[in-house]
Amino acid sequence: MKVTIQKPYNKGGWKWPAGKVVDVSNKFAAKLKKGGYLDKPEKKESKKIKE
Amino acid sequence: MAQTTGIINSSSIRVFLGTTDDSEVVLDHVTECSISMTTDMRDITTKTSGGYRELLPGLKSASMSVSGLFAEDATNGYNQLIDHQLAGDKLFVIFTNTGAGVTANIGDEQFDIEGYISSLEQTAGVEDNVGFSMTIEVTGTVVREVIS
Repeated sequence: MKVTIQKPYNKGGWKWPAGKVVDVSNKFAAKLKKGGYLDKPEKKESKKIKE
Repeated sequence: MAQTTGIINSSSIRVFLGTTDDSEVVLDHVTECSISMTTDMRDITTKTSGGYRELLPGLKSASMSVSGLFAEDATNGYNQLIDHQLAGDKLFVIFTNTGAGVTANIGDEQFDIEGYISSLEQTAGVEDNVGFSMTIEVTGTVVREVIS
């Protein structure tokens, strides 16, 4: 299945930057998901400065 | 998803491979792939076989062949394969049915094998695509499993 890598992956002979779209086996997709490589990093809300 | 019904379109069969188990990536620009399983036969014919050969199954072996087109920038193509052959890397291979989409179809069956590249050829004619062909000899068990 096609997945988009959300953070740099450098394991098992693969070296991919964040944003790379790769077509991987189901088992590899599950492994990437478990490792947090497919989840988009949450956007940090900027703190409003109180005047 | 349920098991696919009817005759399967051969374009749906894809090969994923990598050097680590469960880290397989689709082989890019493949035009043809095949997997072959062989069982050697042990001849157990004796004088009491009534003039007909008698056999029992012996050693089982398998090989997989792939042909494709060469692209310098492929994620998993000829450049990666020649590196694996030169390094003598063991490859983990999934030979599966992705259906019309790009995801292996849950409920169908696939091959999960390990092996080494025994031959890899790059071909370049005149005003034609640069291509490659490869054979992987399987080592160990041939696993046929339901895609989950």
